[in-house]
Amino acid sequence: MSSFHRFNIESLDSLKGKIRIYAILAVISFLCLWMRIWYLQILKGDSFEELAKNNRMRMVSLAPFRGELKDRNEETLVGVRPSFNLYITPEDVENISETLDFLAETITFDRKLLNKAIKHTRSFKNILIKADVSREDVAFVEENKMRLPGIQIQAEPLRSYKYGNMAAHVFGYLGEISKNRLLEEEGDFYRSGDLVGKDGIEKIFESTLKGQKGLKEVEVDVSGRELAVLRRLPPVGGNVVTLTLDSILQQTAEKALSGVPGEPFSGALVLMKVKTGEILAAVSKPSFDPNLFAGGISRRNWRGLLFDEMHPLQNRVVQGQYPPGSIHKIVVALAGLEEGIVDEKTTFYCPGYYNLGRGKYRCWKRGGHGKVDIHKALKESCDVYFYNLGNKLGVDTIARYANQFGLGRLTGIPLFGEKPGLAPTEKWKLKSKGENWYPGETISASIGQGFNLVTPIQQAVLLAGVANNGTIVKPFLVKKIESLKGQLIQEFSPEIKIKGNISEKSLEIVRDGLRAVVNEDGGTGRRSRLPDIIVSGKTGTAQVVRMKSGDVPEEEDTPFLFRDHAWFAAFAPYDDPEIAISVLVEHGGHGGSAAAPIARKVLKKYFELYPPASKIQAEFSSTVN
Amino acid sequence: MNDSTSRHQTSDPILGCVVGLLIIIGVVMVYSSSAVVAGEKYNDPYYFLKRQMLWVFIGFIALRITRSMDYRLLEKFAYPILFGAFLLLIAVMIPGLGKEVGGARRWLTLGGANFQPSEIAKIAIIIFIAKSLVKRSDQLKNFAYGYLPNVIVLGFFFVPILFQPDFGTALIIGVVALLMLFIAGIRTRFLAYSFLAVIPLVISAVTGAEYRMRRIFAFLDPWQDPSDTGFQAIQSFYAFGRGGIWGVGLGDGSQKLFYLPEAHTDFIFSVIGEELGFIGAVFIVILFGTFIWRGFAAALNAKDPFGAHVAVGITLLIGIQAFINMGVAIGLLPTKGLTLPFISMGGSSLVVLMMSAGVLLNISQHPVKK
Repeated sequence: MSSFHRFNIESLDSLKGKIRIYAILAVISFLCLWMRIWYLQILKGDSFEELAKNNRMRMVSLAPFRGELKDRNEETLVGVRPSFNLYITPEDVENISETLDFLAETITFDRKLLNKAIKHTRSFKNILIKADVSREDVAFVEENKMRLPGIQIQAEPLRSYKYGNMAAHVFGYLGEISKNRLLEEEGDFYRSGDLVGKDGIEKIFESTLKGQKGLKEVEVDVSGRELAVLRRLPPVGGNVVTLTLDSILQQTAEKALSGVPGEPFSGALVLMKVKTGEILAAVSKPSFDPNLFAGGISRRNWRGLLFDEMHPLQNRVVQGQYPPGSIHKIVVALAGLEEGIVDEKTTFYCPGYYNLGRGKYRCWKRGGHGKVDIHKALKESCDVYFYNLGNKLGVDTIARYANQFGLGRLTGIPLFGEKPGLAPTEKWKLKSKGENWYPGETISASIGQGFNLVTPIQQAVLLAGVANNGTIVKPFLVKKIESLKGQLIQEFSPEIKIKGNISEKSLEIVRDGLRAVVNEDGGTGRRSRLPDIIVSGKTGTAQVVRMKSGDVPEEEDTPFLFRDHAWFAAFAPYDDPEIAISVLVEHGGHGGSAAAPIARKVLKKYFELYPPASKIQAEFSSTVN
Repeated sequence: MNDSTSRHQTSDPILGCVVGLLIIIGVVMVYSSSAVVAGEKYNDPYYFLKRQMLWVFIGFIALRITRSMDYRLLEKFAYPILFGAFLLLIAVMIPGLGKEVGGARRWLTLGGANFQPSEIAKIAIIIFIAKSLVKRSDQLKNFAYGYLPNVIVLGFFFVPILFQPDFGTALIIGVVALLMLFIAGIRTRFLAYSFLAVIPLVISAVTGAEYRMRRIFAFLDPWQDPSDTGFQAIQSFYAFGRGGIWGVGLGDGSQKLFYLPEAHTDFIFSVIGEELGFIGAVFIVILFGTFIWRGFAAALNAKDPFGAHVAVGITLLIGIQAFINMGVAIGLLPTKGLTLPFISMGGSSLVVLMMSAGVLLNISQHPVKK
């Protein structure tokens, strides 16, 4: 072997000699180890063992208070309150079943679940018997301490949603951290069983709301009871998140958006500032009580919410997609004006129906509207006018204008699961359905039926855009984040999403039509009228079942789930728009009768709270005179 | 004599047994020391055990491969291996690829598993230096040709490792490399110069920050600051004290519950001391001692100088790391985040260690008559 030749004798000897040196060094080093271990374990073993016995320090982690959620006027909507939790330490109890029997005489709790927990947990650990017990129960336990060894009450912070169901979809809820999340998590904050935000603001702002855990070094006796606190690193509470919501308006909206008690009711409402996109109120019904989740939700309650046919966990404001109905006429009207197909003088004749090919499309008014210009078409929501206009525009042009107002796109509101809706095009249909677009479908699309889908938040953004010279703002929910001490950490400012290029003239014509909808005789939205503020809006009816040959059955005859959805969307005041609103009542029937009165109640409250400058001036001058 | 068909190759059985025993003890001790913590944090007491067993399985396959593969292939591919290891170290510095844990960026994430390129760097450098020593065996007395190239390569590797920062790994690579150079017959003078050059750097780094100095010298008298810098050392002493001669029994140690930080990695030797006592701890020391003995024996019996140098390097690497880890646990050395080879919980590092053991076993193969 050639390598042996290169491995000459001299270097081999030197190698051997040096390895011997290393071996001796290794032996010396390892002897040192041996001696040191001997010293620690045998010579000093007893004294170290004695010291270790006194080693009764224990690190206890201290949970921080989760940050509060406040409304725009600094009212606390979501906070933390003490909850009295009942624990058992099995090791300290002589006869567990006897003790529990005695306890069960006064306090009800799940015995089976507890027995299972006791079996599966180390005996020196505390096991929760019942969370959030009443003050009477606390008194009972304290009075009978002698008969209840190993049973303790601990006051622990509990997330508390002040108004229960209110704005539950915005706040979200808490839940036990998932195993995957725990594995992904860097750092050492979370433990299995910790509660984290699972939806809404609670989830989005988890990292800022959670705070920092504290640490307590305590001296304990042999059985683990605390004797003294040696060192305390207090936890730091989470940051305070101030929302754009207005608590009073939110409550008004929650109350307004409700049906006859005892009957199913579902719907959504958004109230948004036109110029900034701040959301003042956002309601989705049916709702749920996030307090149910605050201490860890019971399996039964969770399943109840999850499998409820009315889907209370769904946030209809951003996740509910419905045909826009006649509200879409706003988009079609603007498209027609901008494309020069119609102007304010152009008229179409409405005999009550419209023929295209072999199809016959009805206007909602059987007798027809007669000669209709754009003002009347919007005011009375004449379908035939928009059939004519839509047919001339084509579906792709309608979609282009819809996109300009944020339809068919995410609004970007910081909530989970937002749906983009749909502004259909010929290409879209070919791609998703593999079919060509039929001209008849353009007719449906031009009155917002057929494939069109929008969310309630998109309708509000659309109306805000019309009110705000075509500029589309991004809706937002959080104004600022502050530390507990009030130090500003982050402030959120309005963002412009689409800088619209719709001419002021076209917008003016459409706005005037919307004013007429609410304020002129024959308008479909008259039930949203306010005495001293000019509201401008549009009603809509979203068909749930597509009608054949235009037979419109009477509402009362239709089963509830097949009834149409009622829409109303508006902005106000007409002269200097401040606020946009969109209301959806699922299966509510007509927008004018079901949705417009709800919007009225909310708008009325808004202008009571925030009177417009012009009105204040008017009142001022009247008092001076 | 050249007729290899009449001969059968076996690797050193003692060495194989030592490695196997260390790994088995490791699996048991990782479970014992992590079960409570894992149960609390992940609600699964077997969390670390399962992972350790998976890594042992992967490591075992790696060991089988390197044991049966001719180690001379390593000489052939020394440069590509070195270059690859260097690229991985650089990759750690790239924000998207490297993963930062506790302020140090040492990890690469690949398909959900993390691994530490500095582990591969250790072995790559050993292979490179072994090859370089063979290639330059005539010129070892020459500073520019025999010594400098090695130092330059080392320097290149130190930059990304110190950037992480990982002083422990840099230290161990430096020491192993110098010992390998010394054994090959590099002039002691060159080594002395290098030391002199490095010392001021080390001193300025250590004394620059007062807290760092306190932390390093805390091991001399841990009772000076028992709740902070001396905490780990004291809790480790208590563990050994509680263990006595026979130990408190497997799984019954209590120091690991609340007091010993990183009980399943850096301070696993203390858990062994507590649960298996003086007998168990000394047994581990003897196992590592035997490993060093058989490792050096493999070097002396190697077929060629390259094998001898690689064997020395691997033996030194594992032996020194074990010595430092145990020395820290019993308060002989300042706290340094090095794991106990084969025993501490470790993912990729265990695989690399087992691969290295495979290479060592391959070098130890010697012809025996059938």
